[in-house]
Amino acid sequence: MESSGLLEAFLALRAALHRYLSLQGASPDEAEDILQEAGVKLAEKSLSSIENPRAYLYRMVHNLFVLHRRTASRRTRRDEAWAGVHSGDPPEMDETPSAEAGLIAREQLAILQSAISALPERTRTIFRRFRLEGVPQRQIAAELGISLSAVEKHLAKAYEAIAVRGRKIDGAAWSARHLMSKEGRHGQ
Amino acid sequence: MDSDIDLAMRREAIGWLVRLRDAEDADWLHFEQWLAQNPGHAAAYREIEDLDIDIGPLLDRVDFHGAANDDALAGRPGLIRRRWLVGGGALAAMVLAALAIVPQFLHDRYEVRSGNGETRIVLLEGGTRVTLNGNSRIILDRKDPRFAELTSGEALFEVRHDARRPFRVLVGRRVVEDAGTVFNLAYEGSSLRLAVAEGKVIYAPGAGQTELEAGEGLETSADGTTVVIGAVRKESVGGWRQGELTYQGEPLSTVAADLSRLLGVAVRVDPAIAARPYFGTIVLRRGDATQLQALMAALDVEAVSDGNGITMKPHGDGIP
Repeated sequence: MESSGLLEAFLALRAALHRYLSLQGASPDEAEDILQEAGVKLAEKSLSSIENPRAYLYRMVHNLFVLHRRTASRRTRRDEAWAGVHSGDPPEMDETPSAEAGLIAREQLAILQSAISALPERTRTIFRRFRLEGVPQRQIAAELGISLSAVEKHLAKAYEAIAVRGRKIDGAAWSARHLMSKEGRHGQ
Repeated sequence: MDSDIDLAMRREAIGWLVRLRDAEDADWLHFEQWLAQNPGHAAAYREIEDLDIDIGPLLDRVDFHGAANDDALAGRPGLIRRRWLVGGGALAAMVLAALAIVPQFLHDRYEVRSGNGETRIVLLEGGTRVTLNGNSRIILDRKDPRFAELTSGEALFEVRHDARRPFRVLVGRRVVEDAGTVFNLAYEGSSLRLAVAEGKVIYAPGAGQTELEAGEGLETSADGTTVVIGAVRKESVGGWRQGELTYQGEPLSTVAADLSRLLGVAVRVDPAIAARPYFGTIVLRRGDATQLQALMAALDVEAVSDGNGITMKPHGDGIP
């Protein structure tokens, strides 16, 4: 498929991508902006052949959406901790001095370290290959001589442990954030 | 508050986060379906995706080689299953102590069984009504109408409360005591599920007992050492009597056990998908196994029949 092929695929899937963005919580305007942006990027790109055009386009649009969402929320929730230390606070109270932010980052690192250290060695290795080194899961499976679904299970276990540990900083903040995000997109 | 639903959703969201990184076209379609299934799914996914992005800058400072730091937090992540941990070994020990209260006049005991796909109603002195789901067994006592032992399967208990003589149900080695109550008990492969529709129930009465109000439920691990409490829909408790099964993220293994009792055929689930949570309500005609095939599509699984029932399996190769 030529680059024009990908653009054609994009046009054919435009409505589907719009629906996808709405499901992710994007407003109609936001979805439209993201699709415009994607269209421009695709027109500029010269891609020879794409095996899974839908996956490529969904990923592209999804990443743009995440960028939008996180930029918008950063405006209101500056220096937000990975475990959502301050996300339960109203925006006006979210004024973390930078020295304190450094402290929080260190604390987060310690928590993340303890979550990862507590993992079985194989799970730890697989998570490192996947998340830090960006190795495709198929390749990890082949290297270790295990099935793809086994790799998925190890990764799920690692994320589960990190998510559980993340809550230990401040479980209430996690819940509050979850509730907020359920009610709609936060941060205006 | 965090609920077991949130945690089940988080588990699914993690599955998607992992799968989508090396995804093919079909994965995104399935992901989109998942988002559409429940409005909470997008929030759950965002939560875990944010976490994944936020740990990024920290990861290259993490030591991946060291052995486990023996800090107080390490080593027990597996214990937290769905919501919060009520008790560990201490609770199990207490439950054993509670066994002593069970009367020992075994010759007064009799068993009531229900066949495949049928229900039976037993009325006991003192205004208690026990409805037995299919393929279930309960032991009752002629001399003690305030006692029952559920040895397998599922039953709904509608109890007229008497503070002086609480109604007690023995399940495995555990005791469940009414405090003015309608409650449902399922006992499968030595794990116990309890759901309270009305009033209050006491699980493992005694010091450190667990009290459940209407709208709460509890599930134990097979060895009884892990007890997880969660919310249930009051109106749905005992819904199986009308052929109605409601799920809010219960694993497919639970759905399979419920279907077995309701339809009277063995329904098993492939271990690969046994933990997959299911959301939704299933309405079936009791004892009519011909409904299974259509149902499998709704559950998004494939049914493989063998001589003796069916097994739910993932679609095709399922995973990319």
